[in-house]
Amino acid sequence: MKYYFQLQTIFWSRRFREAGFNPLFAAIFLVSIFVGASFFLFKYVDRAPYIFSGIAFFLTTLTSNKSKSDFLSSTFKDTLGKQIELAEKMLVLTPFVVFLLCKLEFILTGSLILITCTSFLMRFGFSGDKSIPTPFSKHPFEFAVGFRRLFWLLLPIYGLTCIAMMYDNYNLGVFSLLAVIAVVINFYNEVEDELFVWNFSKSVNQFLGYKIRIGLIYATSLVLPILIALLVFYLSNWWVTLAFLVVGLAFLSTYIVAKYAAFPQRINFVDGLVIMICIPLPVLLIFIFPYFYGRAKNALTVFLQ
Amino acid sequence: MITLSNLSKSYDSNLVLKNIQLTFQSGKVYGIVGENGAGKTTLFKCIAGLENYAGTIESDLIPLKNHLGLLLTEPFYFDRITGREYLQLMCNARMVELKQVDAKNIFDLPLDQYASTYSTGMKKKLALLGILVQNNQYYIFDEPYNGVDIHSNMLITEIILKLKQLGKTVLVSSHIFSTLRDTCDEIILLKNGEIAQQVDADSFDLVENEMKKTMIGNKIEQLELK
Repeated sequence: MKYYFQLQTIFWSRRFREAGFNPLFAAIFLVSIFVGASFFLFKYVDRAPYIFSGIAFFLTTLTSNKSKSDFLSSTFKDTLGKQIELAEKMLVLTPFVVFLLCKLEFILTGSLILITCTSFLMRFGFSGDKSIPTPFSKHPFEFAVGFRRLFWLLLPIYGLTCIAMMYDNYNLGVFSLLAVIAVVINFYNEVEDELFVWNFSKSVNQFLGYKIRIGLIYATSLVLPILIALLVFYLSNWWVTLAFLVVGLAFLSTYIVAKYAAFPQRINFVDGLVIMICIPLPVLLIFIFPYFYGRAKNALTVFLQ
Repeated sequence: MITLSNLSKSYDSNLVLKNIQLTFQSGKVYGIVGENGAGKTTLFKCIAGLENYAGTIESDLIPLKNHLGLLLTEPFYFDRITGREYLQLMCNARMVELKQVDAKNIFDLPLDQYASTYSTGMKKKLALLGILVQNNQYYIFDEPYNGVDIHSNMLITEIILKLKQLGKTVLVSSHIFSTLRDTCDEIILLKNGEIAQQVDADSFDLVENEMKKTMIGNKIEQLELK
């Protein structure tokens, strides 16, 4: 396990160097950004602990995928591969947990660790090759693939919504809504083969429009139960609920165009950072979306006409 | 019809296609043969617009890519997408309605299983089915017979003949010469990125003999088998 994490350190150092940063400087810079952004979030943003925990949980979902899990399971003895995966998630959680503890958010910290562990353990129950039914088969692939990959994550989130309603906690309800959108954004982490884009007989604008439209419709259908619950139980807050929904969907749209801006590569570190910066300042999306859209148009022109 | 004029392609200083001049007529099947690295797949990718190139590629239906079905040697599949959803994706991409999918499943593929769990041959058959349900005008089959069972081999040959009968333009590459003999109207031999020979059905033996001479030569004797 020790050697695996040493390799990870080397891997990240290489990634920083390739992006043109000194690894030590980049690490110090990232820690500073994290601390600065966290203080900013807690000082100026409503419901910051929930958003903060949501981001932390979202980041833990990025650490694993099927091919990596298969590799770790087949390479390491017994359950060591699984232990490594869980350790990676805990490593990602550590700075968030430390910050939450400093803010005396003990219950939220405990819930965050519990949900991360539970969702990780639940995943093994559904890791077989038997196909899982999905309501998103009409427009593959992001939602069909993503739903099957992460539906085990949606169940506890819907559970949180029920708890929020039972204990009259509006903030927790909003957190659930944003968490579902964060999961949906994760669906778009998978980069398709160039041929799948080439196949479309659409112009670049039509293609991006189609991807965003399907993303918004399907994402709305997944948050609909939470949205209805929030509107029914907290009608007076309807505009706040809708504002959170709109901001969440704006993030989703931006993430989709950012994905195609980097196509056929994955979203790089700098682009990811740009999107992260928008989390405490969603108004920046007004400028960031057109920026990524323009780049996506250039990147896709090779494959679409 | 597809016309290639002065088509060249290079990777850095390595010229992999050199001034290719070819015309592919409707209702005809063209076999592209050559050694590994001769430029067959690069030629196909250039026609599909997946590679930048010098020269021109023209077609009677514009844009060409919207009417082209491309079967590559190793089709790509997502981890958790079923065969049925893959076919749906292919149809959505071309705005074609997917009808009677089970009746069209002539290869008897388990469409409700994840495509990534299919065997090599099944993956190829699904990819082939995917471009057939799109109802394209032009088809490129890069090694369609690779890894496919004998029954499906025969079926693929019949499919190619049917496409020809329907007036489609079909380009096939294969290392199995007999399959090309059964389907092609013309065979083009690529060698080091150039057209070494282009012959019609009556003269296929010439290409086969040329290939035997240049590609096999006396290599078997070198093994000194006893």
